[in-house]
Amino acid sequence: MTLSATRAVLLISRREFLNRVKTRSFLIGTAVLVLILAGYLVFFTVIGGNSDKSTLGVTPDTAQLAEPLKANATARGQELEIVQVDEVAGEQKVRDGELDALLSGTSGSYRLSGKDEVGNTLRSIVQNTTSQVTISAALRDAGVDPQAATARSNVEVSTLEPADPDRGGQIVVGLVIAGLLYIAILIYGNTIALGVVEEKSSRVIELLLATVKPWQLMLGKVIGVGGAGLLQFTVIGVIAAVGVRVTGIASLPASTLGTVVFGLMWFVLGFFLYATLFAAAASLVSRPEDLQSVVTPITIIVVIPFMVSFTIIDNPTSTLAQILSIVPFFAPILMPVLFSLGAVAAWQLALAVVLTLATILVIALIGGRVYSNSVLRTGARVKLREAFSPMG
Amino acid sequence: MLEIGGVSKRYGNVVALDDVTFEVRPGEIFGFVGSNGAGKTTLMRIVLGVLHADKGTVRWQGEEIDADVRRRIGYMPEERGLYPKMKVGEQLEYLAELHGLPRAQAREAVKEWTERLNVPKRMGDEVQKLSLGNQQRVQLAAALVHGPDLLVLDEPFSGLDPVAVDVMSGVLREKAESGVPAIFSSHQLDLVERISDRIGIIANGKMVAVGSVEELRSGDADVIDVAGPRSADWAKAVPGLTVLSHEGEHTRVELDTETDDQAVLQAALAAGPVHEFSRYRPALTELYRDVVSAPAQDTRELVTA
Repeated sequence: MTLSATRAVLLISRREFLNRVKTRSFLIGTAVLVLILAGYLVFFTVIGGNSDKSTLGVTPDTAQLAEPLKANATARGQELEIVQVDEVAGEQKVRDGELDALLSGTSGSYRLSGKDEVGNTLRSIVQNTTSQVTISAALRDAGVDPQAATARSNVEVSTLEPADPDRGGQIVVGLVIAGLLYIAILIYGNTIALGVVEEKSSRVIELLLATVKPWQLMLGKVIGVGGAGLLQFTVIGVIAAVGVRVTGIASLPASTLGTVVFGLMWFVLGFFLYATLFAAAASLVSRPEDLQSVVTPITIIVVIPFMVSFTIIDNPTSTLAQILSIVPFFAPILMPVLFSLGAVAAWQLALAVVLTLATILVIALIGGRVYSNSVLRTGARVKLREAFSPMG
Repeated sequence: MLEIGGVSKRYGNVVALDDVTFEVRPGEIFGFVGSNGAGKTTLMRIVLGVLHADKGTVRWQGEEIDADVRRRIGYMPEERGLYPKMKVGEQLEYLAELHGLPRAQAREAVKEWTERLNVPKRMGDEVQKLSLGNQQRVQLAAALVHGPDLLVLDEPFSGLDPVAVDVMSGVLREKAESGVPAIFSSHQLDLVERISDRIGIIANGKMVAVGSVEELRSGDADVIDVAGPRSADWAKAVPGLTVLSHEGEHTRVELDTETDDQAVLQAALAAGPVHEFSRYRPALTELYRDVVSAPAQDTRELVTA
């Protein structure tokens, strides 16, 4: 009876996929990650809500400052509510927390009173407004048009390269994606490694190898487990994006969707690359307890590009960043970061993809051989020299 | 017919198999015996393609065995193993599909075999929750579920209770009668003797004897047990007769090829009444001991009659 290689790989990956997705830990894991993200969002919403809006009381003496105060606040993107009260009632309201601060006194003796402190933003708005109003009045008294004077002191800011208003958002999106890729590769790489050892320690491997080839088993595992990972992180990504939209806590750059899709593509590439390494390494040992020793070196290889991503985010056009982002083991994590910053040319991207694919092929061949040579050996850890030898 | 032709295999400096040749005929149960490390498991793994031979061929129906044929083999590895956390039914279905059965057919077969092997209530249980005996039954079901054309069972009887042994040998016999040959290894020689059509004895990687139990015995000189005369003196008078043992009224004698057994009977009767006169048939255990302990150059060539 024939069983095509495709069907064999398909059957194996289906089992691996369903076996992960159907477990309670998969649901719990996804829920926990979503909760962490949601917690983040709520945290920012609460903090943001407090800092953006303040209420200031003005006495009849300072009521004339209401308009310039509002204008000043608006210019800074702050919302300022102004309530007119008399001084005694105003102080009481500050004590009760109904007002953030009370502005009283007259020119020369302005007083800003808060309950136990006055926020920096509010203080700076008030300070700025009073000095503006005072200087304008002085200029007018001296017969100078305040607006003309302001015009003379105006500084125009420009950048030699076009400034990107989305830069801040892009950095955040880039780092979040790098972080997610890093976590996803580690989690699912270790899942693969554990799966390989479980087949060895439960001895089911011999039954499997009597009907499928080692490379089919390895490929099926990588596809199945990778599919589960892709599903989990897509769900998390969608929930996060929708959450951000609904709560409106951060404005996502227009390029976010592209960056996410790009990130998923690199998850697939990076996962294949690293998963093959994890599978081959895991096949060297027979018991889950021995797994750590062979998996740690690979974990380190994943950690380095993640660390590097923090360095290059400040300086995406540096030679180091440009070169490292093309190097196969760095590309899966660094490329999405650079891409979100718009700092890669198409040819660099193409080169990185080609190099990564070529490396995947080489790793799959070597890893496949190590896997074939080691997967039936039980007991002590297989020596690397034996694992790499061409005949099993 | 399964033909093993000149198969050799080394692990480093250790010779695991040395030019092993034999065949398993259609509908035949072939018992494979030998001490630990003699090479039984290595040979079975080579038949399954789990290991590669250094030299020699494995043929099925005259053709070199390939992956598609191997998928038609029902295999029970010496190292038992199933996915511990997978449910019995799902697991068997998966294995049947990996052996090339379409989904629906796989499901049918799982139902059939779990019922035959008396574990249908365990379909939804994880394998690790089963008793050892039931795990063995599931393991056997895994070897049978895809309706194999050949069975290769490494120590299928180890760890089975007497009832399960009967179930197992019943299944083997029934499969053989439907034309599916089986090769199995075991240390329980009485069991091998009882259910095997032919037997292969392997020692230090060499096949030292192959044949039916009768054929294995045929190389031995005639040995006769006589019960009656209280003394063995009568035997000493017969030419070409050697007394092997004597105790009470039981005498065991060996005849050389020239000696007629009727002459022996006459001599015994002359000494007194004879209650028993029978040809001694050594059990497989004894044959095995003889063959395995024999020096290598003395290897009996009983291969194929």
